[in-house]
Amino acid sequence: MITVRVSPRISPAFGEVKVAIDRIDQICGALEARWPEVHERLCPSHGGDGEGKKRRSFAVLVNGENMRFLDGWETELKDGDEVYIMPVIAGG
Amino acid sequence: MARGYMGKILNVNLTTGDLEEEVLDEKLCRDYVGGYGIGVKLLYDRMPAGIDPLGLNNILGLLTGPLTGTPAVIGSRFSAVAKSPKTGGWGDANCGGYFGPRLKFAGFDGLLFSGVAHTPVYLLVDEGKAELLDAADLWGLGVTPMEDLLKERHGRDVEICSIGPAGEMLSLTAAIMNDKERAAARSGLGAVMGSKKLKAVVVRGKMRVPVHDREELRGLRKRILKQAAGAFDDFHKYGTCGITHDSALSGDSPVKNWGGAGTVDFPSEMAVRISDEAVIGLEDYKPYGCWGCPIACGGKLAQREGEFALELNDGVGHKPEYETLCMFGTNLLNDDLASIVKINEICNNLGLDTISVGATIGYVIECYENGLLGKEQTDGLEMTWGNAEAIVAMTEKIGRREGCGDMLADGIRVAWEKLGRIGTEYAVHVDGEEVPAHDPRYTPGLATTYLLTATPGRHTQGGELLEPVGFRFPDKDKYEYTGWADTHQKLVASMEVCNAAGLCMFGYLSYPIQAIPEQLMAVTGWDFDMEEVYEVGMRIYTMRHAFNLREGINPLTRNVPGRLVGDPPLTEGNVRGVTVDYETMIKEFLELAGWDLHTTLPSASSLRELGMEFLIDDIESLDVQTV
Repeated sequence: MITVRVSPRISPAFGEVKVAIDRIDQICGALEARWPEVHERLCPSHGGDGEGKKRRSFAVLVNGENMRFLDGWETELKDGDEVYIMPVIAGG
Repeated sequence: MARGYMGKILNVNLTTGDLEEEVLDEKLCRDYVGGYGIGVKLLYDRMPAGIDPLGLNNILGLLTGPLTGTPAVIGSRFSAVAKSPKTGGWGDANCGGYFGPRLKFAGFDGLLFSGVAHTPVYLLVDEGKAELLDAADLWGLGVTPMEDLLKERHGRDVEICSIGPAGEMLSLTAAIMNDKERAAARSGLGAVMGSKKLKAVVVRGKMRVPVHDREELRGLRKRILKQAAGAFDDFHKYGTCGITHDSALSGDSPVKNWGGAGTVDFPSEMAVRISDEAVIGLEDYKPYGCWGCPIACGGKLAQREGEFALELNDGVGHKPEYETLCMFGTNLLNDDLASIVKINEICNNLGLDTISVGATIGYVIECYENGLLGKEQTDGLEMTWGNAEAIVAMTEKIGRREGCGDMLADGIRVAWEKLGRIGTEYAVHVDGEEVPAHDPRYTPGLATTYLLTATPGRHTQGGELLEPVGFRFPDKDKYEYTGWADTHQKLVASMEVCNAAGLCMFGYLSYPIQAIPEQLMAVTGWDFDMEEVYEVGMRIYTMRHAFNLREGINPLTRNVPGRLVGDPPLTEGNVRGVTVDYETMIKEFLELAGWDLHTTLPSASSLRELGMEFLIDDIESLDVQTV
């Protein structure tokens, strides 16, 4: 199982969620039913602007490592991995 | 006169004591909007080059924009302007709170202070009438006790802008404060105010800011608040402290004086202690909002017990912003939240720029850890990473210029010089201005903002850090360094207008960018669209640059700290391997702007396009250093 956490700025109530996925891009499907509001923020409709916004608006860390150092959305996951999803900044 | 303006500024000659009202020029406002936009044009016209920023001939301005004090979202801001004693060039700082709107309700769009008072004074502006009053009993007071005293004297309905002891002692890290704990902190303008022996400005008023179409503005506000609702919720709940943990991990934050990596040196279990839920979970936490703000991203909290108990306001202080949490937390490997809350109280009361002081302490710590400084030079303080007690004690010393604090109170560049230029690699500043807590290795476009903008090392001057709603970034990787010039120009230009108009940038981030010209039209009655916003913004940007050029400053000659741009790159963390090709980005921006690639002098044609023909002769006569 993979542990998924999200930034409190996405959902303060999310906590830690265990999901059975083996690739990052399966997260959207895993979240859709149980966490629709998180799914809506993270996973706009595929194709066109939706994919671009998904890429740009969120950073995804796997065991602390940004997925851009791995295989991006196609990064494979193994049992015990932790995925953390956060928005790309805001100011301050 | 267009609406949105009260129509006049007050010129205060502190040497003679004369107060003179001046009708605000309508064309000036049309061309430069307000705030530091009109400020830079006025100061360029009224001050020669080469004056001493802490001398008689500098002019300090406190200026609002046309949207300040109106129902625009969010019309709460004012600018402070002057020649900066930190950089020797253009200086400005931006602040929220309540002072800006109240200044307009008192009848003025701005105040310009010239000369130097013979003894400390403060200015009282009350429903259109102004007078200079003796500040002998205020001089030396911290911001909080002084504001309390002034409110007792003049009434609870006044708003106050002031300096603390740091500004009085001409510290270049001094800020201009308002509402006790809001700060116009950058460019060393607190020192300028102190050099004029101007302790405070107290304003009271109930005049209404004229608005061209109040119904339209009401409708816009309703629409904007509905559109921005989700984004506002995050900000309301956490404010900027909400990003501290994430920024530490992502590579956005400087870690260990810009030389470390969050995931290694300040991992999640540390970062979470100074972020989001930890901060708003402090005792008696309540949101605080600036004037008219629907977000209320600020906060107040209590810390009445323990080693770092707050001493003022019955133990209640403002929530530290992200910049403070990072520069005294992540940057110094300090995960002791209570110490940072205490530091925030110290900085606010003494009137200090938390970015600059946190950065300066980072330099000191790294020198100490590497044996370049010893306890004999730090007044016995063990300046090691994460040593909360020492960091708090050093902050107080800097604020009071006590002991070694005297050497550090003017920031990194001055400290580096006084210490014999030790630890150059650790001295992260651009032209004397310490760099805020957003790393160009994470957001490469920030390198252009930090290195090129008239006020270097500033994250609130636009750039790729903040993607406005309704604005399309090119669909490319941020580490592809070509092809960003048009985007960067539009971002910096729109931020110039946002700042000059008196709008808070957190509104700008949350609602569609088109709401900026829409609100300007509704308030002023002038036609605005996004193309006009970009043109006016570039005009302001160019005018600020021209001020510097006249002072002999070519931004291409600024020092570029290696750590800022990944030279050499980090080997760990989420921005490892990144070396920012800032030269390519800057070159493309200069080409687009029509500025010379070696001198940054704007071409005559680029000035004509912006309606700035008056600058052509000045620019052509300049002799700046070529690279």
